[in-house]
This record gives sequence, C-alpha cells and structure tokens, in this order.
Amino acid sequence: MPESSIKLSPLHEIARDLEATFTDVDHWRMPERFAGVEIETTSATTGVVLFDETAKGRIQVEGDASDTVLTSAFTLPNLEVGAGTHHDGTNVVRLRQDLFYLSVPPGAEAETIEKVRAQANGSLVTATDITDGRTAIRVIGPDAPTLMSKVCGLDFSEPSFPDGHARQSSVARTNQLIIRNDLGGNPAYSLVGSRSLGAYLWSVLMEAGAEWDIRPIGRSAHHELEKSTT
Amino acid sequence: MSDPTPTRLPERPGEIIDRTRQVSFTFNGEIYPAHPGDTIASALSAAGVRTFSRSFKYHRPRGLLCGAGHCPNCLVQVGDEPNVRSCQRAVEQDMDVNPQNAWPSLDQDVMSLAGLGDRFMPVGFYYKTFMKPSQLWPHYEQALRNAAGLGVVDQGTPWGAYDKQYLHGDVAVIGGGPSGISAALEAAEAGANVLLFDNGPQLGGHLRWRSDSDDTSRKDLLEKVQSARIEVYTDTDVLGWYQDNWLAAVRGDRLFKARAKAIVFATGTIEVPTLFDNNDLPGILLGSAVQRLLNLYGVAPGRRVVVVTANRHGWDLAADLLAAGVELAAIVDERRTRDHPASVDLAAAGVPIYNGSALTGARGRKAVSAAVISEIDDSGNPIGPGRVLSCDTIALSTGWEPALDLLYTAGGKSVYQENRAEMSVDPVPDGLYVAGSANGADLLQARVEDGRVAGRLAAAHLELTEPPPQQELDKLALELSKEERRTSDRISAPDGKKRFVCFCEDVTDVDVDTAIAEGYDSVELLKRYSTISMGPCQGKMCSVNALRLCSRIKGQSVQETGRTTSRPPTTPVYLGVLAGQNMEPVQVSSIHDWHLDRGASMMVAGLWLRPEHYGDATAEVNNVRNRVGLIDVSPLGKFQLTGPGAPDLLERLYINQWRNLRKGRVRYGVMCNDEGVVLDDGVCARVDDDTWYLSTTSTGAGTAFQWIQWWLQSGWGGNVHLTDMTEIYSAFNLAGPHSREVLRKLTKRDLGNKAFPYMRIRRTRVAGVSCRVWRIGFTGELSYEIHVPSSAGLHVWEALMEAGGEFGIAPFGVEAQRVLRLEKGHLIVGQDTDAMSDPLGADMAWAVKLEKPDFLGKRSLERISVDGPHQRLVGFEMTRKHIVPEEGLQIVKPQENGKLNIIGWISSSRFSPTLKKSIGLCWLPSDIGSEPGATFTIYQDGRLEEARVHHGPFFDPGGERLKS
Repeated sequence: MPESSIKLSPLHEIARDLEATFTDVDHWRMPERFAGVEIETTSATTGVVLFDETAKGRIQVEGDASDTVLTSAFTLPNLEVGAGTHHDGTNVVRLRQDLFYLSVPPGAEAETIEKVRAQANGSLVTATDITDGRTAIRVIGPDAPTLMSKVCGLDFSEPSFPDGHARQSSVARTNQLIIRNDLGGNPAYSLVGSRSLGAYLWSVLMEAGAEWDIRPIGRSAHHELEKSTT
Repeated sequence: MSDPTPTRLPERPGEIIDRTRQVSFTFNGEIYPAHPGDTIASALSAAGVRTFSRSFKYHRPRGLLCGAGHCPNCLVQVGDEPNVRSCQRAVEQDMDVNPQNAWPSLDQDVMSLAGLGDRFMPVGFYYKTFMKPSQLWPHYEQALRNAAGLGVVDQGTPWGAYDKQYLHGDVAVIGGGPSGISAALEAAEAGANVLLFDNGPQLGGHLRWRSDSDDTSRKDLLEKVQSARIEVYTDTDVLGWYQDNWLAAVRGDRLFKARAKAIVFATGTIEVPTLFDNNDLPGILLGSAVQRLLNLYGVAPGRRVVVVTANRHGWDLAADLLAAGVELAAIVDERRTRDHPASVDLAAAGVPIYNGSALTGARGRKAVSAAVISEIDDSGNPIGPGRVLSCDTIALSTGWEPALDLLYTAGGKSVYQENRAEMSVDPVPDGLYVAGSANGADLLQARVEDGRVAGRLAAAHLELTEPPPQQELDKLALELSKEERRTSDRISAPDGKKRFVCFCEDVTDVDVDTAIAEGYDSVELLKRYSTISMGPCQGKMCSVNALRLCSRIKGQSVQETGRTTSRPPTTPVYLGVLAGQNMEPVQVSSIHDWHLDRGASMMVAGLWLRPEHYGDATAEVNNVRNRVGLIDVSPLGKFQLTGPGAPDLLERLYINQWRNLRKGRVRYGVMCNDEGVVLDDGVCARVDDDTWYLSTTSTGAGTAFQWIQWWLQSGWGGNVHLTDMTEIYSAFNLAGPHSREVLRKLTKRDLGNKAFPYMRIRRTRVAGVSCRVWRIGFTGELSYEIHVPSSAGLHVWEALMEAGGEFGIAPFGVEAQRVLRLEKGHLIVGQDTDAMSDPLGADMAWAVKLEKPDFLGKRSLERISVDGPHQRLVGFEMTRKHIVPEEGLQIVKPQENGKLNIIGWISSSRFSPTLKKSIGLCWLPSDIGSEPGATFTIYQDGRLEEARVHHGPFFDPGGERLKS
C-alpha cells in the first residue's frame, strides 16, 4: 500500500463539496471537521447528525462453528440473533445462527481475520473483509430515532431496539444492517450497506433530517462525543 | 355577496382566534380581514360572505354547510391549489383565495343556466347523450370537464416536499374526543404504548365547541394525556386501515404508517343534512357548523336564524345562539316533547317554538331568505298549510351518522338500527374496538365511560390487564340502550324544487328515483350510475340519505338495501403525500465523479449509473482497437465460493465442467434454470484449492446471487460459503494492444504471455494496491480485468490513466464496449437471449456438458439435443453495408400471397467502425441459421432489407489479438 492515503469513502466528494477539512486514518482520507467541533457536537446532543464511519474495518464471519470460533478468539457472551457485544475495540453482532458481523478499528482487519482463522481448527469458518464493499453512516442524536422512523419501517423505540442490538432491514429502499450503538448518552445507529448506494443514502438522510437542521460531523466532533461516553 | 353588517361577535369563551392581531387575504379579488386562528370560511362568514363557490353540475351557489371538512360546499382555490376545504384551512397573510367552478364570475355564472334545462340532463345523461359518434367523445369529454371541473390544476406548480414516518404502538386510538381520550388513558394506564390520532388542531372533539361541553372535563382529560405514555397526533387524518392493523394517517405533508396491536375507533359522528326543497342554498348550515362558528371563531352565522332539530343538540345550539345575542326566528322540532332545560329560557325570551313540525323547504335566490315549515303527522308527513318564516340562516340539527368508514374497511359489518336510524357495526373484528359517539353513546358521561371500557378491552387484548367484568359491560350496554334517539330519518315530500341528496355531484332525489326506475336498483350500481358518494365528501354527507331514499323507493328496509363498500382513503389525500420523499436508489461506482468530471454521458443499467460514452463512442472503439482503453465495469457481479464443496456446487449450477479447472485458471461459464433457459454467464476462476471467484452479468448480479443462495439453502450448501464481493471490488477493463505495456508500469508481476497467459487470474499489486487481475477479453483485444478494493478504486484508475498517457489511453463507455464485443461475436445474456433461449440454440453447445451426472437444466437440454434447437443465435451482415437495423426488428419470410411470415428477430446490431459495415446477432430458424452466407429478410420501416448469415467472430476469428 502506498504511503499516502488512497482509500476514499463513497461520501468523499460530498464532504469535499461541503468544504470539510480532512485527516488521514490508516490510509483513509476522512473528514476532520465541517462547521466546527463545537457546533457539530452541539447538534449531535440536541438534534441529529451524520458521521461517515466507512473507514472502520468490517468483517463477516460465517460458518456453523463461527460461534465457537469467535468465542475462542474473543471473550464473547452467548449472543442471540440480533444481539451484539463490544470487546476490546471490536463490536460483534450476531446476524444469523451461523453469521456474525465484526466492526474493528481502521487497519485492524487483517489482524482480526488472522485471529479468527487461527481458531478455526479445520472447521469451515469463512472470515471475509467486507470493509471496501460497504458504506457506514452513523446517525447520532436525540432525534435520531425519529429520523430513522422516516426512512425505515422498524420500531426504534427503546424496548424494541435496545442499544447494542442490530437489525437487517430496508432503509430508504436499500438493504442495510442497522446497529444501535448509542453515543454520549444519545441514541445512535450505524447504517452499514452497499458502498455504491452510500451517496444516495446520505442524501436521503440529509433531506429527511432537514426539519432538525441535520448536519454532518467530522472525526474531531465524533471523538469528543466518544470521550463524553467514556 | 358581502354582508354590510359584519357578523363577528364579542369575545367568546373557548374561541381560538387571536383578536389582538389581524391579517388580510383576498377572496374573489376583494381584500378581507381575519384574525390568526381564523379559517378561510370563518373569516368570510365574519365578513358576511355566504357564497364561496359554485356547484359541480348546475353551478348553483354554495356556501358553508358542515364546517367540519366533510362536504364539498366550501371548496375554494387557494393560489395554485384547488379543492381546498375553506372551513379547515387557516387564513394566512396575503393568501389568494378564489371561488371554484364559476364563470365568468361567482355572482353571475353562465353555467348556472344549466339548472333551467335540468330536464334535459337527467342522471346518466352523458352516458346516453355523448356516446355517438364515438370519435367526438374526446371533444365532449373536454367540454364536460371544463363545465364540471373542480378547481384548476397549475401544471407549473413546483414539487412539494412530502415525507413519511413509521409509527409503532400497542394501542392506536382514532379520535381525540372524550371517548378517545378516555380509551387512550385507560390503555396507557394498563401499560400500553398508545398512539392517539385526532383530525382537529387540539384534542377534545366536540367539547371544544359544543354547548354541552364541560371545559373542566376537557382540561382534566388533557392534563392526564400529557402525563401518560401517549403519543398524540393532532391535525392528523387517519384515512385507511390495512391488513395487520396498518393505519395510514396524514398530517400536513407527512404520511404516517402506523402499526398497532389493537385499535380503538373513537371516530365520532358526522352531522348530516336532510332532504327538503332548495336544501343547498347558502345560509343553510348544519348545527355543528354554527356552533363551531360561534364558539371557536366568534362569528354569528347570520342575523336571523331558524333552528331545525330532532334532538337535544338543536336546543343546545339554540341556547348558544341566544346567549351570543343572535336573533332566533324559531325553533322547529320534529318531536312533540319539549323537555330540554334550555326550552324555558328560550320560550321566556320569546323565541317561537314549533314542536311536531319540520322543515319542508327553503326559499331564496342566491341565499336563504325564508324557511318553510309544516306540522307533521306521526309518520313525518306534512299536515295542514305550511308556514313561512323569514330568516337568513337555517341551522339544521336533525341527524348524525356514526363515522364508521374506517371500521368497515377493517372488516366491520354494518347493521342499520331502525330504532335509532343509524348504522352500527356488528360484529367488530377481533382486536378492534369502537367507542363513544361512533358506538351510539351521546351523553358526555356515556362517551367517557364507553371509551374507558374500550381502552381497557384493548389493553386486555394485549394481556396487559384483565378485561372489564361482564357486569360492568352489561351495565354500560344498558345505559347506551337508554340513550335518546338523535337522528331523524324523515324525508319531506317534494314540492317542485331541487332537493339534493349528493352535494358533490349535484344528484337530486329525482335522479335517484330515475336511476332506480332504469334498473340501477342495487346500491353499488346506483352509486356508479348516479355518482352519488363518488365526490369529494366520499359519501359522508349523502350515503345514509341515499340509502333511506333508495329503501323507500324500493319498499324495503335500509338493512335490506345494503350499503356501498367503504374503501381507503376515507378522506381525500394529496398524491404527493402518498408518494412521500423521493427515494429512488441509485448505485454509483467508486469512479463515478471522475466520469462526470470527464463529461461522460451516463446511462441507467439496473440501479447503476454507468458511462455510456465520453462524447464519441466510435473514437473510443478505434482507440481500443489501435491503442488502449479503460472501462469501468464495477457493476459486474462478483461472488466468492469458499470451501471444499464449491466444485460440486459449481458443477450443478453451471452447464460447464469445473472440477478439472486448475488453480489460477479461468473458464467461461453459463448458468441455466431447470428448464434449460440461459440465466446468466460470466467467468469463474479457481483462486486456490477451496476458493473460487466468479463474475456474472452486471444487471443479473442480484438475481444470480439469489439463485445460488436459494440452492445453497435448499440442500446444496454443504461445505461451501457464498460471499457477495460485487461491491468490495471495483473492476476496470484495460483493453487494447498496449494494455500490457500500461499495466507493466504499475506492477512488478511478470505479465508475459508465458507467465500470465490468456484465461488466467493472478493476485498482484497494481499501483501499490493488492488486486485480482484476470486476463480475459470481452472486447476481443489483449486485456486485463483488474479487480481492485473499491476504496482504492479511484487511486488505481487514475494511476492507470496516468500510466497509459504515453500510449494514448482513453476511457471508453458501455456503447463502445457493445460494439467491440459484437465485432468479436460475443453475446450478452438478456440482450441476445430471452426467457426462451437455451444454450444449444444460443451458439453455446460447446459449453453444454451433458455427460456430467447432473446440473440445472440437464433434462431439458437432453431433450432439445435430440432434434437440435429450432432457432439459432447467429451473426449477420447487411447486404447494404450502411443499413443498421433496429434491435428487436422482425426477420420475415415473404409468402407467395405477399404476406410476411415472422421467422426471427434482431437481438443486437451496430455499425462496426473497425469493419466498416453493419453487423449484428439475430435469432433464425435453425435450417437458415446453420448455413453461413444464407440470406434472409429484415422488415424495417416498411421496407425489406437483405442480410446474410455469419458464423463466428466478425473480427479476429482466430483470437490472435486477445491471446497475444
């Protein structure tokens, strides 16, 4: 891989048009800030914002023994389908009895895949890096559930879709994996779907969120929100 | 039309207008004042305007009638928006309001002369009159539409912003009156999440504006709602119930799609008019409309009012009018008893009271000037001479119809209760409950109690609480059975004047009589023939009167007469609301913006946007043939099969053989369905022992993935995993005689023919990025298909373009690719094949391995192989080389009698810039198609063009270029 950051999110042009400043994240060129950290964090805690988290690593683990393999590779509780957990920087969500979705820090994909494969012990467990094929948009803020209810038919109320859980559903007529991952005490949802549809989904969300003055946030503001969570 | 004496009253308790501020708007070209909170209708009424628009057929003057957003009489045009219910639309500063259906003016409408010739326009007259000659119908239609239009649609109106929102609840309550609020509170108290919908701007229903309202009760209920787990949606019309308790509701420009496990229909009642002579004159209002004017907007309905009633509500209304200082010309009550508490005060105030009497007609030219009343016998028929009462307003409070349309659409069966002259629902479907006024409860306490019980039953349905004890239900039923009748079903005898059953479509009682006499005697036929209930009110004002009239004419009960089917939407809705936010997914590749920046002309391929060309497709073809080109083929389907079971699966999915494919090698493959019809094609590579990587067509990728997944989940999935890599890799095809030289600049891998020959795959770094590189050639040129991780797609693409600069590299689009592949004689599945095409006929017999134990389509292909295919896909050249037949054209065989028999069709055709002639692919009968050089005829634009059969590639038949 060349020295410079050559990986671009499908939302890169949108961010550039919005005159975002950029930063490098493990070969990815990602938006650092848009309107300013304070404005962005305020919007995230009072309304709703979008954050491009495409640079995060995404791994799909499939196989009848994947449960056992992942439990060995990580310290996992027994997960029901649709439930997730967080372990040492890695988010794990069970999508099917034999299918798991892992979200890892940028650049940790290969290491994670090796970790999984090392535990396979001859059983057919496939770990695939699907990072490049997906766009990940995080919808954050107190109005996020209402915004989501404008583009998706799921029930986003607390008991039906609690924090840490995931659903696969149609969002704005596209297939998306929706992971609820609250941030800084505010509801948040990661939408993981086809890379080619990322720009379309972003524009739909921005239009649907106009009533709350939705805005994009960069990595700095997101980092601030993460700090407030911890 | 404007009354010189304004009718705005002194401040009223509970009014919703802000008298401290004033706005102005125009109506019919004149400026009118209003207060914030006023509706258009209330402001016009305050200014004394009686006529708002003209009617649909006879262009009769019409004004405010129901005041509740049900009837068509107050429809106006607001700016470029037609059919606005002026009683519901709040006034805004500088709003431009105009009457509808009036020409040349509201006051003098030429088309109102139609009323004089009504005998020539009986019901269904246009079915009878304008049928012949049929060719004139378009002209008739235009004239009729102009005469009977409902407002003017401005096609230049900009798109509105509409959207949708999904809602979820345990219990949905429709109707925010006292019973609905009570039901919602009860269900919420039991632990249910409750959605409460009301079409008014505030909760409270009739408590907001009716004289029997108990303001303390309303405030108490509202306070409880605020502290309960209830999501309140005011200004929201629920317009449809669908399967599994899916409710469609509209608030402004937003459509709510609400799901609930149980639903309480506390939808209230709709006040309905009665039949009497001239019953449509402006100045005739329903009692509830008068109370709304009085108590919400502080507007007197007129200066001298006759109240006509058959229930307690008319007396409440009269008391309100008296208290507001409006002169009462009389109270006319069909009933002989006079037991309302207000009767004493009204009598003491000198208001004439006529018990046992009814309204038989109204007089006036453009508005009411008098009411004609008469004593009636026990059957409701007039007796004795009538009495004429001078007045400018008639307030009708003679009947209510439970608003049950939604419940009917949910499967509730209607039952007409003769003793109450109202519809009810029995049985009510499981999980649905009806409460309050819609359930026959009329007194406030009964409504509240009925709502409470319905809420409890809904919560019990969800097992959140116990249902009410049977004793409680029995007691409530007994109370409801004691309720006073509130609706009159009397129809007065005609006296030569028009008596409208349907205000929307100007259908009179005579029309109903005529239609039934002509044989349209079922209610559904009557509806369609007369158009009763098919107008903007959707039957709310007319259905029950039409049924009563129909039942009397036919001499049967209303129940026997039946009722027409209710269907959603039960209230009018903007099409834009149903469409919602524009959500048309568009897929773009990682190079999309680069294409746009280079002026690419984009085309739609499935959901993908792809460059069709960059300005000159012919130049792009020539550049690939002579130098080097680069095309973005990212939409190609790309799947990975992992596991030892992959070869077995491939052997079953494809007609080809796979087990013998060695690592690093690539093979072309064809998939068929069980009927042996070609589904998809592509190349498949064995990456390592247990990893296979295959591509499919771009538009067939989704279908192919589902197809493989279906078989995996149907028992063929042992020891193999399928992963969709389509989006993970962007794909670029570097094609042309200089492609190797270009790629060599960006990779350390040996690209020589020996190290990397044709039909091989290699993993290598290109511009520093780990890629999968295929050596394959759809264009017929030496070419490399580079599959690069999509996030680095733009980096590699730009690197290739830069590296190719010295070799004259240029991007090429789909159009050039289509020409190039046609020159090579390659088919495109879906373009050159259809739902009948098998591989034996499609020139792919070489790929069909019938010796395999089994594969999808084998049995069908075995049968076809016995006699051979009837049709063959072959190449062709035009005799006249510059003629390019359109794709899809028919291939014909002229007969001796001059007729043309269709024997085939053109699937692809282009002018080849390389070969300087027109070429293509077509389907022909096997006997002709099997003979190279055989001539056949194409029918194009009325002419016959000759073509010749060609077998094999048109260009580089030996494949030297792509193997070079």
